[in-house]
Amino acid sequence: MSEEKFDCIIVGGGLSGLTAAYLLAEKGLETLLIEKGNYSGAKNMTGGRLYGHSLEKIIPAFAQAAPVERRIVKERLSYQDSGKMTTVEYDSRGVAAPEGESYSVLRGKFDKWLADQAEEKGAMLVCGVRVDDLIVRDGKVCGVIAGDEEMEADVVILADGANSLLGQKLGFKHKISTNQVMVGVKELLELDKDVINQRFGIESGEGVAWMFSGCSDVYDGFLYTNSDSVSVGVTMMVENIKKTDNSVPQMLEDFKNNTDIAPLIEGSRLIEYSAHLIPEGGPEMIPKLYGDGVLITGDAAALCANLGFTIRGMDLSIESGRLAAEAVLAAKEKEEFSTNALSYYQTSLENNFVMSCVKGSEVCLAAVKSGDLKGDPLKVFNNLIKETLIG
Amino acid sequence: MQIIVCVKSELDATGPIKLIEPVDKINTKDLVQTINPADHAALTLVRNSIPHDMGMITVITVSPASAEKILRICLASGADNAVRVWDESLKEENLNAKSVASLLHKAIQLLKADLVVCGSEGLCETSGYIGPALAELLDAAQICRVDHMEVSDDKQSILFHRKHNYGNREVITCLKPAVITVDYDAAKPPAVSMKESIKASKVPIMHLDLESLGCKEDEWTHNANANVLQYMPPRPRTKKIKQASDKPLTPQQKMQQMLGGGAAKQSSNIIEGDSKKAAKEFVDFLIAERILNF
Repeated sequence: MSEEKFDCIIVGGGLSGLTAAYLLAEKGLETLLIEKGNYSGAKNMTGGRLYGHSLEKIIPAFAQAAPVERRIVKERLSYQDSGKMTTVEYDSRGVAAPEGESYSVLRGKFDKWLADQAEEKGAMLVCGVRVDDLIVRDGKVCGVIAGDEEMEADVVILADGANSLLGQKLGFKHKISTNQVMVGVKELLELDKDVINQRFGIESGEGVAWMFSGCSDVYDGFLYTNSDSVSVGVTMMVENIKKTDNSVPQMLEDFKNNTDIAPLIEGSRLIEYSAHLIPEGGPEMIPKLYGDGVLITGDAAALCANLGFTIRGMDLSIESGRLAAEAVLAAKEKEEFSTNALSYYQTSLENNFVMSCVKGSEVCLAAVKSGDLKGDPLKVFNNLIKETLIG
Repeated sequence: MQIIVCVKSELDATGPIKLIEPVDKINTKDLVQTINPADHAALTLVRNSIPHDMGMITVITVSPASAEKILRICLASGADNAVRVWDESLKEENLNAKSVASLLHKAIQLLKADLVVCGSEGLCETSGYIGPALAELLDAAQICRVDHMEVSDDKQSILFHRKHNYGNREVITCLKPAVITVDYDAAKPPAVSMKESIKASKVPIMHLDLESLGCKEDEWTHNANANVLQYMPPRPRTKKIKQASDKPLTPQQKMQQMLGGGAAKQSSNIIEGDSKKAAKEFVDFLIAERILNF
């Protein structure tokens, strides 16, 4: 590597960026990851449940070393209507297959751990630096610009989150509109381990993922049990916020004061408040994913799937990071980083569960947008069963 | 001129802090490492004041390998070299300020320094021990709480400024070697640039263990001069006694008021309950106080 050029620069230290950095550094590529937060995870947020299969392929048995909170063993779906609530529970205790597991995670801890793994493999992480623009020469992305500094690379991976201002500047991504994104707000509430175990009927290390629908015309709620805290939050289409006079923080307050939720979090203490944009435009929102010397991954590529009751993004991000790394490695072998050489990324995404998952979410997304998931409980369960059993 | 800046890896305690049960120790596993703010300010002050051609700055810490991250931030912030003192036989929980000062003293003797710079106090223990202890061990001049420094016109000496009460200032110069301490607000650390970070990541960090320091075990395993016996959080204030306007206080209530937080003002009432109930109570209050008229 020359003094001024890397094999690959990754913008953004979230899950997709870190995964790509880990794999590229492992194969000996000079990899620079630039994160605007003071450390990876400082600005990252999730609801948060991580489906383990994507990372399991890269770091087998990662959950034994990583700071995961609890293994999800109970799935609960609740439909609320005028003070009534119906709950469906699926208990997966006894099923032990690491690739099929999911875990509650807190990104502040988890991403920091993954960043350490990437650094151990040889990736260079620079934190506290914001990338302002890309160096583009004759249509080819040649590096990044941060303030008055420039840094060059054979290929740049944009993993800069749902807004992806760099993707927009490049013309790959349109400015997001209010009907393409959801906003998620979450409170992390500290609660004693034993109280969590008792209230949710679980043992130490076991967790619950609980989705709530019908609690409002505008938002849906979620609750995840962490080691010694619970993540409670609401998600809503940004466009739907205008349907109510309530502010988003007030909606979260209302959800917490709901008669079914309040007893679950009674006696807890607020330790963190966060909010995040979730790309929810479905396949239509997916930007141009590759170009001359550039790839887009994770939330920046709008690789997120709304499955009606739950939203998946982290496993898709990790997988897209892995596939982007594969594409860069294949391009490096030929020393060709043209649009044509990097098109392998799009092909591999198309042949992967990522795209089928995003495309499959269209039905649910239409239902969310139309409000079908809120009006008629039968429709809710019909949609759920259709999505779960028929696909 | 050889300048050594002593830095300490601290934990960023701005996030939620959890205790490990049942021993009541802080769970440090999830906290992020950061540079002690006074040490970072000390490095910044020195780098801003002394040009590269006049002084080579070496940062030094007594820490395990995990602290290399903060040394690299120091390198990106203007330090020329970095040294980490650690030995497998050392355990963080056994190190007290006196032991750390001894190890730093050994390392500084080895590295040779004209000027040793320390933050005036650590983030955690705030004892301010290391600087004065090093001055004593090195038999060096000591200037505490320097807030500005400048090279003299003839470039032969450094002038150190200290603040005094009522805006008075003191300008000091001294013979080499010297130890100075710097407050956390003496200089604002720079935003680290991308290229400096990359450059810093490639600088080799010198590691000194006990053998390379020529240090025997009894030279660092000191008992602390002072031990913290108990930490007491602020005493909770006794609840203020509300005085009804139409009734005088009983002698017992007066005594309670004098021993407690004093008399409560009616205007400091806290409205409790959910937002709808609170809003109603608030409007009722405004009407009762004739701020709102209906």
